Amino acid sequence: MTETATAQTTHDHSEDHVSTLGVSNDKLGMWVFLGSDCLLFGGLISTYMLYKDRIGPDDLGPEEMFDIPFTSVSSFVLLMSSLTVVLAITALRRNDIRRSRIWLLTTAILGAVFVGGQVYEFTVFYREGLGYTTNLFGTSFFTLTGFHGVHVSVGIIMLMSMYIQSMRGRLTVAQEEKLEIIGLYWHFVDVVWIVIFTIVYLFPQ
Amino acid sequence: MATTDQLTEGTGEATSWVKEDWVYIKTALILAVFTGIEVFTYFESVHKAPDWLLVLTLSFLMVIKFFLVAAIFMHLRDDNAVFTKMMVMGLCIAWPVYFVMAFAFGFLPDWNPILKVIFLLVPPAITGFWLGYSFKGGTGSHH
Repeated sequence: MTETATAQTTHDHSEDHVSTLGVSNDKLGMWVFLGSDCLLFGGLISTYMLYKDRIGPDDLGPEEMFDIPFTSVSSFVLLMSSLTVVLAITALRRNDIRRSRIWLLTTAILGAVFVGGQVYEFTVFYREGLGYTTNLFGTSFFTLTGFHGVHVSVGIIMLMSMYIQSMRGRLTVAQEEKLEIIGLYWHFVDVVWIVIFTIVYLFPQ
Repeated sequence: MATTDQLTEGTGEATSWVKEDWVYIKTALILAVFTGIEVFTYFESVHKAPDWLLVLTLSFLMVIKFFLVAAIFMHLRDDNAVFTKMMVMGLCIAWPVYFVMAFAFGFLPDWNPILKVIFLLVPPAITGFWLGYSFKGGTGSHH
């Protein structure tokens, strides 16, 4: 009887999170947000493509400014953070809180390394004479990569909040979906960088 | 005290988790190799290749990486098909919008107009057909 009641309670509780489509509302919400973010980044990438050649006769262009080996390392770091966040989720799923916490912290650190690299890159560009308002190339480049950097920073804050929760003993298997949703956001940030890195940095100028 | 069955079950479970993690590690390795190939195109000897070849190669690798992350890391492969359909719908809309812009501003080669129309409309048409075909009506609850 007790078991049945518990099962009923669990069933009712799980139904709270499930939409009429048979999927979790929270997860569906994140996917809708990611879809809208796709359009935002699509617009920013298109704007960059339009304006990348709008530079003054004495200004430095993308070919002279970009440090591909450096950005490649940053890209690699972000790519690996996608692996660590997925390992954090699988560890939590099997109730291995300690390992999940380690992977969460590793992901946040890798994200911070990426953002640090971006700050360094922006500083170098600024010292070489490319500011936000120097030309249209600078404006579109800083807006695009800056927006992406903000997304990574928001992701780090979310990961750290999960890490703090785990330190306080509040991270349990029941919160697996929450971590999965944060993971979705993090992977999306990675996917966007895959596109930015190829189109902005590697495509022939 | 754990029985042999319980121990075997526990070991089996552990093995399945190791297997699952290994799938993600393999995916990350493949992504790393693809990134390495992309970066390789930057070096002088390869960079002298025709622009169209570089753009084609880099685009191909980019798309593969994009779908690997979406399918495996974002669990679209195993998750409810609704999520995949939502993503594909977005891509169906985005594809013609961004490629019309790319053609209009001359980012892509000056192809024959018929080829351009095929390039723009065929991928979203195929995926749109698949979406329409795979959606099942009348299963949702009405309030």
